[in-house]
Amino acid sequence: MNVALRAGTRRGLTEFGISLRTPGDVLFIVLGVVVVGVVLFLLRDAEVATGVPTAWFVIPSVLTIQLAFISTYGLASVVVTEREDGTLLRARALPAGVPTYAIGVTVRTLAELVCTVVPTLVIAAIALGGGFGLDPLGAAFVLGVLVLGTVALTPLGIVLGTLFRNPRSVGGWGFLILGAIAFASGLIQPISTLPPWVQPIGLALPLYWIGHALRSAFLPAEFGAIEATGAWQPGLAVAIVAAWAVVALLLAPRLLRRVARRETGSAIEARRQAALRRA
Amino acid sequence: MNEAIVVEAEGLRMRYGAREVLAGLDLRIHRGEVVALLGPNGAGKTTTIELLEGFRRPTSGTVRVLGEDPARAGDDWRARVGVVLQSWRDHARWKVGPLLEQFAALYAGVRAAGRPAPYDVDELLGLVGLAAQRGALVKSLSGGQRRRLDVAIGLVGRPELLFLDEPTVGFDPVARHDFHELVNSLSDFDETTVLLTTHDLAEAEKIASRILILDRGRIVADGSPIELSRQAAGESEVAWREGGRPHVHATADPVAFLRELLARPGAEITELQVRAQTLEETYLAMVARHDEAAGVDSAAAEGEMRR
Repeated sequence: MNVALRAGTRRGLTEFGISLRTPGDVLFIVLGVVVVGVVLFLLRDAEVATGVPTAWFVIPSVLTIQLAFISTYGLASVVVTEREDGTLLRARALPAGVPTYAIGVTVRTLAELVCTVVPTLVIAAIALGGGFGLDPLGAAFVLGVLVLGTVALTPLGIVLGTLFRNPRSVGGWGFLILGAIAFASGLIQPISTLPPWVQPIGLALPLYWIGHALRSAFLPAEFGAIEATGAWQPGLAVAIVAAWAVVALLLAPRLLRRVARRETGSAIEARRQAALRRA
Repeated sequence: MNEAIVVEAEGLRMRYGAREVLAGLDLRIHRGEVVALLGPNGAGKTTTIELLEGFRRPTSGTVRVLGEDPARAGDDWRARVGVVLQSWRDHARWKVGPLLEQFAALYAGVRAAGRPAPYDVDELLGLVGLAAQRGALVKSLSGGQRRRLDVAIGLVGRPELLFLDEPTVGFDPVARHDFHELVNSLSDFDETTVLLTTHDLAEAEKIASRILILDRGRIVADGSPIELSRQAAGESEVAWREGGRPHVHATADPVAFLRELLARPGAEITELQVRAQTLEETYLAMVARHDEAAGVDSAAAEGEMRR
């Protein structure tokens, strides 16, 4: 395990280094941060109520969406793609290969996350005039929720990556579906303003609760009224996200081992042929 | 140590739905052997090698590789086995050197006591002829270079047993020759056991100490290249011209036949040729014979069904 941890961490950092040298990947990260910067700059003087900047609403949503797209969507696309191109089978042929691979993709995702969330927080702090309006306890809570959210969503990305076979379906549909889930989770507009049949979907998934926990740190107590719970429930939110984290952490290694076990050279060759026919 | 059995399979059957790919395969490979699994496409070569690598489980039968069931074996076992599969496309964005270093670290990390350290990456790259490509991106390699990288990855842990599935596809003649030298040196100096699949007969003849011909999921011939040639009906072809007319005669004992032919009084023999059957002819004869037999089988089966 020690070997996998060391080799996997190095592998993840190498892969992230490769990303940093790949214009497309860098553009993806930079664009995400720039869009956030522009939005927050435009909203810099807006207030939803006296003394309550609109940015306090926007920042929790932005962070949650970044978390979801990088951890879940990004990781799932990597796993599906690398399953098709034989990386996973290669891992299987090597001693300690599969755990090394799993740690590698996770580390790479965490590095990407840090490189997105940290600049976002810096930009947000600047847009809010040099701080978040959080006391040290609130700031620690926000960081804790981000870490917990990552722990829940990263293995979820691996799980989703093992459930789908075609990289294109994850790349295209996955993006749209995650967008729809972000909407259903009240990250675009408050969940209480969504159609009643959409609300349970959002409430069942972890994104709403990550957003809820973050908002509870930024916004005053009376704003809890617009939440599905009618008031801030940071404890409940953390518990639900933690439950998701446990489920995902239990499932991810099992599913990854399972799909790795099913990979064979002939299966990859067959998929390669299928891909050539599609192209 | 020389006699140690490295691979042992008994009664291997593999079925994908209704299609039987392996129909009861028995196989034994000893340490230091270079065995070529030869056969037409669809003969079951890749399935056999994937069973031995532990990537598939047989429908029935037993497999022991280096004393363990490959489908259940752990990392220590993996570290003793090198695998080169068909059609790798992975790690396209990596550079050659760092990729090999990463894999070498895995072998170094799980290495059991008494096992040699993995190859030094520079040494290995020199060995497979990729020294100049150390800093190149994997995706920039040519087909043959990519294949040599695959072989290097299979070798990096100094495996006791190396599996190669169609290793020289896409090689130019020079690369192919170098590869054959490399395999020979592995078995000569390191006692590495090598099992490779190929449908190139000349290749099998050149590097294998033993050839197994596989067809329709059965081993139809097993022996050294020379034994196989002898086994193949064992006939030579004698051709000559006598009185302006060409003659051809197939015989198991060309020397006796020639003695008789030339000793005949008044014989005016010209353009005399004696040709021993090549392994290629043997191979084609075997596959053809096997086809015929299968044809009879299926005709019989059809007859059964009609009744």
